[in-house]
Amino acid sequence: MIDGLVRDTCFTTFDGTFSLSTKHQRPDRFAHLESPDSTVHRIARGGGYSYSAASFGTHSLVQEMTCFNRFLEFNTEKLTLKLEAGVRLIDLMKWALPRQLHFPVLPGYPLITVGGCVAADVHGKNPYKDGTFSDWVKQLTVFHPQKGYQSCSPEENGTLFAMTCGGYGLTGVITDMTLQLAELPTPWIALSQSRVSSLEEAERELSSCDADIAYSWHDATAGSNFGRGMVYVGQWTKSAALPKPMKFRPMTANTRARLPVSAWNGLTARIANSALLVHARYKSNISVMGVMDASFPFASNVYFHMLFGKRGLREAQFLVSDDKIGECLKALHKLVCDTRAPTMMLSLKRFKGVQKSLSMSGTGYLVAIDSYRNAKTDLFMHRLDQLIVDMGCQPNLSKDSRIPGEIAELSIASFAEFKQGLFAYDKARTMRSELSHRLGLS
Amino acid sequence: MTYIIVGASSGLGRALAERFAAAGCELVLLSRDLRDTSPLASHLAIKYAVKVSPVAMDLNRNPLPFAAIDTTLEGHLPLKGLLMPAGINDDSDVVGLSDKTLEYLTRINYLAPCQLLNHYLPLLEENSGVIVGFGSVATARGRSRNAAYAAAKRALESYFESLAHYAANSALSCQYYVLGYLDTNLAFAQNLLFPLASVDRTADIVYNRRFSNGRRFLPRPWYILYRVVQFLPWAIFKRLSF
Repeated sequence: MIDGLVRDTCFTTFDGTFSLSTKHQRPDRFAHLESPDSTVHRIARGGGYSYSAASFGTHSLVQEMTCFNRFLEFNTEKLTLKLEAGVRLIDLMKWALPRQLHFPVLPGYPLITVGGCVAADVHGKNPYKDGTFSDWVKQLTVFHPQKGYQSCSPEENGTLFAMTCGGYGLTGVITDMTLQLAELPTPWIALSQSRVSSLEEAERELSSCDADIAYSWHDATAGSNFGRGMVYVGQWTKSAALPKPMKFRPMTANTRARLPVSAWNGLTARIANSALLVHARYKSNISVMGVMDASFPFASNVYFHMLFGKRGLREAQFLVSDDKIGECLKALHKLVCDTRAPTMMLSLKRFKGVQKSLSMSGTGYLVAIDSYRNAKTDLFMHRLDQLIVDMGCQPNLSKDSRIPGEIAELSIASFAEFKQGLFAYDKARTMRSELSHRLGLS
Repeated sequence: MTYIIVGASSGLGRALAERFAAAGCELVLLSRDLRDTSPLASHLAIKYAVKVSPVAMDLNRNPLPFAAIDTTLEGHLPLKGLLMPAGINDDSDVVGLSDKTLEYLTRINYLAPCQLLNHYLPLLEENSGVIVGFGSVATARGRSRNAAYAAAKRALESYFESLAHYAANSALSCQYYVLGYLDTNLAFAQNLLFPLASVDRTADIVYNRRFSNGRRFLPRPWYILYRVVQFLPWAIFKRLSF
């Protein structure tokens, strides 16, 4: 170990429900990345926006990759960009937009790094049309302390590539990657909103929609208001002026949790949801915004997350097949009402893809549900786990900081194959996190 | 115009490279490990469309391999500046340190920057260029820790004073920055008493003042602390452990 370059840091998941203190290194050159003894357990970390403890764990050295944030090679013909894993999405988009390019799969927060996006195989605003992040990755370089630097792609070293995309950093530290960019049709998106009175109505609207952006938001508080909400549909549009630069206040897991108590409870959740619906009624049905504002809605609106305070929130995301979505939404409604769960907000998106490694992908509907924390939260989450298994749904491991290993094993189709592959690839399981420990992958 | 940046792989050197490239300057980046400066050169070329050349150079080598830098400079615009935010300290740097460590610290913190300066001085004088040196607040007063490092940096500061005197009536600009705590990897693992200054902000100041002369503290409040330490009575200073 290089003395003086490692410190103890207390890490917290973005949902604020899990913290621990461990060794922390921020390498800014290759010699530092390689400096720890090859047997030292470690895990890579990007921006630190995962809801689960995927980038830190007990007795595991955290290697924060934010200094590895350089653009390496741009192919003007193929529109591919080779870049290091610590590049943040906002920096990628700031570089791409003036060149009339963009990256189609953008999760909701701009400070997430591209390395983290590969590790969690994240999705954007329309996974039905654009797939998940790994669908746009052409090549990866993975550093494993005992195996060195390994290049992989769907064509070369394909098993490693498949295990690394959605592998939560357990195959090694992603140092760089080549991304496929797309031509930017225009820098503007016209986002239209329509009110719906139920989840089923939203599902019908989303299923018949062929837009560039498509998702819904719903009131998820227990009671008669459950399910009413808005469907958002976005299309590229033309406008004379250039969009204003996006303004946002950077938020981290620590700044999100500044408020000592949660402002959300049964009353405030109902008031906030009703206020949003009333606001939407008097707002123009179509708003034209820059692609950055449309892609990163949580960047300018930090209050939803900050108001959960130090106690944090619970989020569950799962993918339901097309044939089970109706039944699943009814069962979810019943579960929320039966448990009087402290749920607040629910969102739906259509999905299309192929499930691999630990990533959440496949064809169907994504359901995301957020709860503030009280005595009923854990019971609700426990019964939701059972619902996920019963309905054959797939959970999103990056969004749930407590999902038990046995639920992941039962609900993720390729879990056993991934585990077998990982154990064969790295017998010592050098890369470790709290997530890998919880899932029995350490 | 072209600038040479010594120690460009990380920290302030990297921030200076980004700032000068953003202003359209061509760069020659020197560092020990090409694996760090080659990606940076690609990054700056892609982002700012400027010519950037990485050259591997270990400041601990004697003589310094000037031929590689000179050959690289031939493919660039005329040399306008030499920036040397390079330096190293060592945990074993206390009074009584080994000859090898003493020589190593003196070479990297004093001899190599002076040799680079001497080599490019004629060219920079001809081009009305700029030479920028970087020191440390550790030079305020000798103490048991960082003994050789502080001595070497104090010697470098003296050499820059001589350079300023030499260049006083010429078009050559000469600056020397005394740096406080910066947000670099060296400070990352230390519990420090004072807040860390942003390297990007520091690089911005260096760029904007590139044609001025003189010594300056960055961040500015360190000047007060530097003077306080210098004028502390010996009876108090000898009891301090820092």
